[in-house]
Order: sequence, then structure tokens, then C-alpha cells
Amino acid sequence: MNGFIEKNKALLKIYCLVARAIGWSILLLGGVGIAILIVKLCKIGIGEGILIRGPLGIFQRSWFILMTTGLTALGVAQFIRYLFDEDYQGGWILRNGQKILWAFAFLVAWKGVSMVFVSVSRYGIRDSLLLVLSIALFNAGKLLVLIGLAQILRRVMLVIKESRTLV
Amino acid sequence: MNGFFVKNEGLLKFYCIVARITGWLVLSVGCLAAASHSLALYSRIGNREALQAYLLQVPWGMIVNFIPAGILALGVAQFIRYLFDSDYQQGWILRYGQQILCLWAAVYCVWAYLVEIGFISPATTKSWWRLIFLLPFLGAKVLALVGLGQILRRVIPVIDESRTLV
Repeated sequence: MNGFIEKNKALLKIYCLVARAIGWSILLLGGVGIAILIVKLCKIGIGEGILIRGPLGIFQRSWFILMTTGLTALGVAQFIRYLFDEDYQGGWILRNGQKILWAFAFLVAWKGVSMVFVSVSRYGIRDSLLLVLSIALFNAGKLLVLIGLAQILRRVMLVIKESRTLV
Repeated sequence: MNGFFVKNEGLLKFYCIVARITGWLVLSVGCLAAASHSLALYSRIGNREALQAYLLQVPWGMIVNFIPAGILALGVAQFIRYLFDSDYQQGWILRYGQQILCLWAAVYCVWAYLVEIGFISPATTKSWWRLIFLLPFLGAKVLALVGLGQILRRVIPVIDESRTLV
């Protein structure tokens, strides 16, 4: 493994830099979405007009997916740096990766339950059964992946730490 | 680390079974949706207008999200089993994990080009704001997938080493 890392160190460094730049820019866009949402909430409160329809609406509607993608890109960049740089102790996202993944899992569960609730209240149980089943299935899959990744991250970090001390 | 596995073996085994069942179900639904929409598209190949109209109605999100999510759930279950069961040899998703993740990144790029930037979306829905949103998002997703592939390729030998040491 060390041979590969030595050979491709420059490439991995460029990868980390690009991933960090893109990850931060995405987080910024997510932040813009949250800011718009908060301003709207303060102005008109919770209601039908909370989502704006203009071009900026895309940031407001997609803040959750923007935040998760940005954090994932930053986390992957930190993990790769942790693999090739022996002096690097892991950034904030990597150190708190397990908690972040659990928080994502909670948000996915909450989003899934609220989507099921909205579908049932809008179309009734009989008409929305297929939709509800697909939402439940997809979110259950996502939830399991996030919980599993949290467990994997916890174990794999320990294994990498052990292998570092052995070399 | 082994202490944790011994203590929670029952829970981890249960997790793997549930993740495998859910993964297969999600994958099956995604494949079923892909197959049925492919058939419907195939039947409209002669009629350009009907094809264009149908392309706009296809729930692309269901196909593009369900299939990778199912494979990911199965892969995570295999990885966890690989971590706690020292007799377990990697399943095919784990063995070809890097290629699968790269393929996923490529498919995602093509899908984003066709649906979001390219010819399927009507011209009215396209805007600079949408591109500003989409390009970094696409870049981050592709970088994360390629990076995860690299991590998987490096981490598996480290785990193998730690298995032989114990």
C-alpha cells in the first residue's frame, strides 16, 4: 500500500485540494439555502409561501442534500489524507464522523416519516400505498447504509491507527 | 476492537441480515423500474414526439437513486461482515467495489448531462442558477465516489493485514 501512496502522492494531494474546494463551495451554497429559509421563516412564519419560486429557490429547497454532499466530499478528502499522510491526525469531520453519520441517519428517518405522513394525509392510505412503500423502503435502505458506515468508520480508523504504529 | 465484535456479534449479524434484505428489495424495485421504463421507451422509438414527452415523465430519480442505494446497502453489509467474521471472504460487491463506484460516478455524469443539462429538460427550466447549483454538486458527488473507491482499495489490504496479525 505504501508503494502506491508514494507513487501517487502528488495526485492524491491534488485530489484532496479539489475535493476540499468543491466541498466547501457546496457547503456555502447549502448555507445560502438555510439563510434564505431562516429569513423567510422570520418574515412570514411557517406556511404555504415559505418556499420561494425564483431562481434562488433551488438552493433553499436543496439545502439538506447540499450540506450532506459537501460534508461527504470533505470527509472523503480527510480520510484519503489520513491514509497517505502519517502525521495527519484527521480533521473535525473524520474525528466526529460517527456522530455526523448518526445525525444524518436521524434526519433521513425524520424526512422519511414526514414524507409518508404528507403522502397519506394528501392522498389517503389506499391511493398512496405504493408511494408510501417505496418511500419507506428507500429511506430504510439509506438509514441502514448510514448506520453501517458509522460502524465501519469507527472500526476502520482503529485498524489504520494500528497499522500506522506497526510500520 | 475484537472485544466489541464479540460483545455485539448478535446485533451485527442482525444488522447484516436486515441490510441485505433491504438492499435486495431496493435494488429489485430500482431494476424493475428501469426495465419497465426501458420497455416503454423502446415502444415509442418510432415516434419522436411521444418519446420526448415520455422522457420528461420518467421518474429518473427512482432509477438513478434506487439501484445504487441497493448496491450500497449490500456492500456495507458485506463490509461489516468482513470486519467481524474472520472466516468470511469478500463478496463480489466488496471485491469489485472500486469499479462499481467508478461506474456509478460515470453513470451519474451521463444522467446529469442528459436530464439536467442536456436535451431532456425543457429549455425553460434551465438557468444559470441551476448550473451554479448543479456543477459543484456533480463535481462533489463524482469526487466523493472516486475517493471512496480509492479508500476501499487501500483499506481492504490494511484489514487483511490486521486479520493475519490477530
